[in-house]
Amino acid sequence: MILSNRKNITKIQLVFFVVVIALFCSLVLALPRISIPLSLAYILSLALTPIVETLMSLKLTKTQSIVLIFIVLAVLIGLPMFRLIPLLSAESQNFQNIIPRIESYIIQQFQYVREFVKLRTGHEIGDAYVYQGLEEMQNWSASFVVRIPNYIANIMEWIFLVPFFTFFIIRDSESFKRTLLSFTPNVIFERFYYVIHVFNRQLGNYFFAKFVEAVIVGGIITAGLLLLDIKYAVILGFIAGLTNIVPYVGPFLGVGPAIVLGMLEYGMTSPTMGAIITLYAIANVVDIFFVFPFLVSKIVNLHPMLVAVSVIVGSHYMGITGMVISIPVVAAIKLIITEIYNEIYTERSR
Amino acid sequence: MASSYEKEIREAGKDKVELTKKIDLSMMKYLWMANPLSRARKHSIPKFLRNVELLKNFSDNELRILAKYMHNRKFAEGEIVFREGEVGIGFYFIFSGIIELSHDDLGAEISSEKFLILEEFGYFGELALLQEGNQRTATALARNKCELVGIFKPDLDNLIVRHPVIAAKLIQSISIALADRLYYLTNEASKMHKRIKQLEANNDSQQS
Repeated sequence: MILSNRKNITKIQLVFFVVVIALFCSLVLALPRISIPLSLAYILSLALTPIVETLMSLKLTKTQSIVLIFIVLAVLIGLPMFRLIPLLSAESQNFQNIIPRIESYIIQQFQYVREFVKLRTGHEIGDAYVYQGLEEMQNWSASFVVRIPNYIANIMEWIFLVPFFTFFIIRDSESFKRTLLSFTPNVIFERFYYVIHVFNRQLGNYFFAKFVEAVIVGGIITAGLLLLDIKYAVILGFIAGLTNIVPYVGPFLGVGPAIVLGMLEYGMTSPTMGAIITLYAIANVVDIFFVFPFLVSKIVNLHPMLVAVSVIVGSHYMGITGMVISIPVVAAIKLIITEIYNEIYTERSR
Repeated sequence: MASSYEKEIREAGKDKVELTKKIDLSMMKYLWMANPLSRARKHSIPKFLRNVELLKNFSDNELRILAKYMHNRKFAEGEIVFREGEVGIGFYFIFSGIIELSHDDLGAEISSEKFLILEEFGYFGELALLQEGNQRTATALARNKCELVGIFKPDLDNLIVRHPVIAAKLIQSISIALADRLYYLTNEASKMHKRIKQLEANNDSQQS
């Protein structure tokens, strides 16, 4: 009687635990407005925790070290942003002015062709498609301009939410973990604790390595662009470092703005353009041959094909964020599957 | 009006004014904390660890820090803490209750043999903290309602980073206990070896 009663309680504990976890996961997945800043904050906290630990060993309290890191980061990220925002608003003004000009140019050209064809063949070309196309383009640009405040609102929300979440995740991760462990059923306690520990450590190592990699690549590019005396060198270097976090695709995303800027400022075939492309190539070669093999690949041991597939799947579901978090998530899934495999195939079958 | 109670007392002392009687909150708090029936586990775990023989070289403050890295686990009667052959990461102290250690199969005739019964202030599973991928060498079962205080490998990892001295002391204490046990076992083994040699010699002389 007692035994059966106890078994029931164990089962109830297990069910309760699984339900709480599932509820939390589904809630986060169902609300991308929370889950995206939350996962970004989690990634940031993982990358920053080693620095916090180092500062804490210098006799600072946890809160003091986090605040210190935040101030440094705010200066490092904030200054380029202050330069970027006026530039962006000026560019979007330009964009709005350019559109009517493009439109009148197209109509003018179309009129010429029409006259020309009528003169030669006596037929008149229908103009419905051209006007329809133009109208669509106008609508699209209008809706894009209308949606800009929306995007900005989103970004503003993130600017406040991500540091907010990051701060509390770093500060209170211990107590979160203890709360979670306190109602973990005895049956799975040791295994569960071990898995979340290894999971956090792997993810932490991965993002710390990525963080270092981004700083190195961004630093090389910024220094190079400054030497070449190119406008917005700091911003371009910052973008290159940031996009470098995405495996494989990142370097191409990073070089995009530099090519566009170089084209506008110096022209496609100018020597400066060649220098810019060479610089990006050098930075990526350094990354691929010297940084990546020593830092990142030892931490996440995944087949390159699996990496490519997970990046694509991640981008499909969560955009850029998905691309960034896909690798560690796949690594974590691999870890959990390995753990379950070991449980099923090696220990119990002995 | 004074801004704090202490200041009020000081000023009242200066002016020789009779203070109005108030509830002394700090005294109330002290009496509440000192209450022997208090369930404030935060304070009772270091006190409990103080009485564990294994941790006798720890200072009170070190025990307080160590307690922060430990986990309270409650087990019902008949519940299994861990099974023989499982991969373990935890080292447990018995806060209350009785734990029974047994081997699952020692030959075909005995299905399970109880070989050790541990009570309050006892400890078990220390090998899990030292060995990589440790497999439990016995099954631990709660004889009655048990409360265990456990420290696990991830906690030890954190302790090594944040409080290296305490981690070193913990590992030292476990090592001393293990060294004592190893010494005892070596002695036993050599005694058994001698005994076997003797029996073999007897057997040979009987045969010849």
